[in-house]
Amino acid sequence: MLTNYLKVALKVLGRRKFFTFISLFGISLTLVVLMVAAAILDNVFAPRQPESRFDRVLGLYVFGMYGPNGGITSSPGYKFLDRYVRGLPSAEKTSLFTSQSPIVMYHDGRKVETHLRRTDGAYWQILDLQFLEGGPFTEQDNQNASFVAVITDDMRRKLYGDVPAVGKTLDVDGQRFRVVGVVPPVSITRLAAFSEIWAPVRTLKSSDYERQMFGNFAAIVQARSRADFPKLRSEFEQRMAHFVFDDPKTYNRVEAGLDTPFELAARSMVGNDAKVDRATTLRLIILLAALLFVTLPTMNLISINLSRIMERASEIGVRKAFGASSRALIGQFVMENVLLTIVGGAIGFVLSLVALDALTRIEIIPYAIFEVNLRIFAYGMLIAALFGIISGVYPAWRMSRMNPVNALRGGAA
Amino acid sequence: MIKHLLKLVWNRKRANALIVGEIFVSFLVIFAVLTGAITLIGGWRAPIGFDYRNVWDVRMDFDNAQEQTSPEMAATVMRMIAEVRAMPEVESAAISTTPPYSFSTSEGTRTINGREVSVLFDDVTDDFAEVMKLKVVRGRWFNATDDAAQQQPLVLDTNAARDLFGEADPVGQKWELDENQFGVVVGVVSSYRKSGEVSMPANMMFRRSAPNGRYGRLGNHILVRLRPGTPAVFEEKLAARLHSVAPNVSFRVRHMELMRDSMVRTRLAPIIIGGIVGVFLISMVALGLTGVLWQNVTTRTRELGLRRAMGASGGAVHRQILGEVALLATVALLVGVIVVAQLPILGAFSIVTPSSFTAGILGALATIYALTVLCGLYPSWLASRLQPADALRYE
Repeated sequence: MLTNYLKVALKVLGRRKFFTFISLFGISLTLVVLMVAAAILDNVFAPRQPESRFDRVLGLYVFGMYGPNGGITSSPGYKFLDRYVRGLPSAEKTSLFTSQSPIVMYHDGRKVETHLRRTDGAYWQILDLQFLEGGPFTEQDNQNASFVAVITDDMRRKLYGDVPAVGKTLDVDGQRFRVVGVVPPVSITRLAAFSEIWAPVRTLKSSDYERQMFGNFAAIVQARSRADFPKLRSEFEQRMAHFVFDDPKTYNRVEAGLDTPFELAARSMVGNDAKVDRATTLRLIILLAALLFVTLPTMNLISINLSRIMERASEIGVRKAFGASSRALIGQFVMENVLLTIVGGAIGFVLSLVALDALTRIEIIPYAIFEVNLRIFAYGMLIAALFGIISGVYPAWRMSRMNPVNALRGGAA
Repeated sequence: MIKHLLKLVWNRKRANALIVGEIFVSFLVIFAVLTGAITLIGGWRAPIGFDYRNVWDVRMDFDNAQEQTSPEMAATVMRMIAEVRAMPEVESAAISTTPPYSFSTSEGTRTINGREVSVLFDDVTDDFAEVMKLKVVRGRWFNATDDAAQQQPLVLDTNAARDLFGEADPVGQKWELDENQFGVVVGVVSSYRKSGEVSMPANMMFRRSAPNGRYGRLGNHILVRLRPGTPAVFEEKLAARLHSVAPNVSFRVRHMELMRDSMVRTRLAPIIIGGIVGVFLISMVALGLTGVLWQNVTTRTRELGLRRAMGASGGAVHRQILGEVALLATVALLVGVIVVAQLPILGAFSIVTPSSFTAGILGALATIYALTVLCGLYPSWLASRLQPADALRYE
C-alpha cells in the first residue's frame, strides 16, 4: 500500500513540474534561512572549543544597582566579583578577568588593531585553549604582575611573520610584554574566551580597579557538574541578599546572577532589571520570529497544494466512488506532502551547508566556524516535517470533503 | 464590470482568501524593508551637523560609571589634553562623553505637558564646537565666561530646541537636569545627529563640562582635530607622547572616519539581511501566485469558454482575469494599508520619518500591483487563447 502511495506521489510530482518546482523552491530556501539562523545561534550559545567546559560553567557579566531615582546597569568591577562571587562553596574554580578591550599597537611603524584581555591564572584552567607554542601564564605570574602575554597565532603572524613567538616581546598600550604562549584564533562570539592578546590582571596600569564595584570585569565559575548549578546559584543569591549598600538612599536593590551564555544574552536583551523569566522570554521571541518568518512560505505551500488537489479532482472522485474513506485520502495526501517537504528539506540541507561554508569563508564573524551538527540537522528535519504536515492537512481535508459526483466530473465545488 | 468581478471573486472566496492573505503579508514585508531603506537613504543626504574628517578619538579606559571623576583623574586628563594641544599637527582638542559614531549614548526622558520627550546628552568641554565644527544658529557656544555661572550651561540642537520649547526662544530657558538642579540654555546649534548619516534626527543636549570636573564626571574621550594632510604615522607619535604624560592611563586612538564606517556597517546589516529575506519571500509568493492563477484558469476552462462562445473577445477574457487579480490585490492592500496606518499611533515616527513612511506605503503598493499583474499575465494570456469549441468540450 505504502509503495503504491509512493508511486502515485512520484507520478503526481512529475506531472506538474512547475508546481513541484515552486514547492521545492519555497521549502528548501525557507529551510536554508532557518538552518543558517539556527547554526549561528548554536555557534554563539552552545559550549564549544575553547569554551568546551561551559556545560558546567556559569558567568557573571552584568551587575545593576537600583533605587528610587533610577539605577546603573554596567559590567561589574573587581571589588564586587572578589567579594560576592569568588569562593562560592560549590564552585570548583573561579576566574576574574577584564572584558576584551579593542586596542591599537604600533609595531615596526605599522598600526595593528587588536584586542587585549587581562586575566588571572584560573582562567587558563577553565577555558581549554590548545597551545600551539609555549603555555599559559600562571596565578603566580599574575600575583607577581609579570609582564607576560599569550597571543593568538594570527597575531604572531602579523607581528613576527612565520617564526616562533615565545620569548619575543610586544609593546601594547605603553607596556612591554614577553610572549609565553601562542593559541589558535578565537571567534568573537566566545564571550569569555575571545581576545587576541591575554595578559595578567595585575599588569593593569593602576590598581584603582580593586576598589570598584562597577568596571569592566567579568567572572566565570566552574561547577563540578551541571547538577550543581542550582546550588551555586542559591549560594550566590544568599550572598546578594546580604549585599552592603554604601548609600541605601540612592540604591537599595541589586540585580546580578550567574548565567549560561544564553541567559546572559537574555539578560542584556530583555533587561537586567526586568521582572520576567528572561531566558523564557528570549526563547519565545526567537520562536515567534521563526513562526512569523514561516507564515508566508506556509500560506504559499497551502495554496499551491489546494491548486494541486483541484487538478486531481477526478482521480479523487474515482477513489471516493470506489469507497475510499476520508481518512485514507487525507493520509495519502499528507504523506505525499511530507515526502515533498523531505525532498525539499534535503535540498535545503545541502544548500545551507553551502551557505554556511560561504559565511565562514567570507568571515562574516571573524574566526567563527559555522557548521551543521546533528542537532541542527535534526531541528531542520523536524521543521521540514512539521511544515509538510501543516501545509498538507488543510488541503487534504478540503479534498476529502469533495462531493464524489462533482469530483468525478472534474468540478471544484 | 467591477461588480461582476466582485461576484466572481466572492464565489471562489475560500481559494481566494489564501491569495489575499499572502498578498497582505507580502505587502507588510515590502513595506518594512522599503521604509527602512528609504529612511536610510533620506538620512544619508541630510546634513549631520558636524565634520568627522581629520578627527581622531582618544578613548581612555577609566571607569565611567562613577558619578564623580576624581580630582587626580581630572588633573591627568587635563595634562593629556594640554599636551595634545601643544603639538603642531593638532588644530584643537576637546573632551566628550559620548562622541559622534561611538556606540555609547546617554539618554534621559522627561514628561512635558503629558508628552514623553527623550533627550540625548553629551558632556563636552568648550573646544568641542571647534573640533567638530558645529554651527551655532542662536545664542552662543560655551566659553570661559561660563566658569562663573551658577547653573550648568547647556546648548541644544535645533531638534531639541523645537521639541522642548516649541516656538519660544530657547536661549535663557531653564531645564531640570536632576532633582532641583537646573541648567540654563545659552545657545542652539544646527541639527546634530550623533550617529551620523544612518541615524534619525534626535534631541541633542550638550552640557558644559568644566575642566575642574565641577559638574560631575568628565568624559573619557579626547577628540583631536588635526591639520589637514597630517600623515597617519603621527598617530604613533601622539600615542607615545600621551603614554609618557599619563603612564597609568590605558587608551586607544581611533580615526573618526573608521568609527563612521563601522557605524554604517552596523546599521546597514539588518536592512541588507531584511532585503535578502524579503526578496526570497516575495519571489516565492510570485511563483506561487503564478501557479495558482494558472491552475485557476485551467479549472475554469468551461466558464471562460462559454464567455468566448457568447462573443467575448480574447482581450476581454484577458482583461477579466487581470481584473480579478487586481481586485484580489486591492482587497489585500486595503487591509494592509489600514493595518500599517496604525503604526504612527504606536510611535513609529520615532524611528522613521513621516515622508519615508508614506513613501514606503506607496512603494509597497506599486510593487505589489506590478507583481500581481505580472504574475497574472501568463495565465490570462493562456485563458485568452482558449478556443470556444475546445473549451466547451473540455472535461
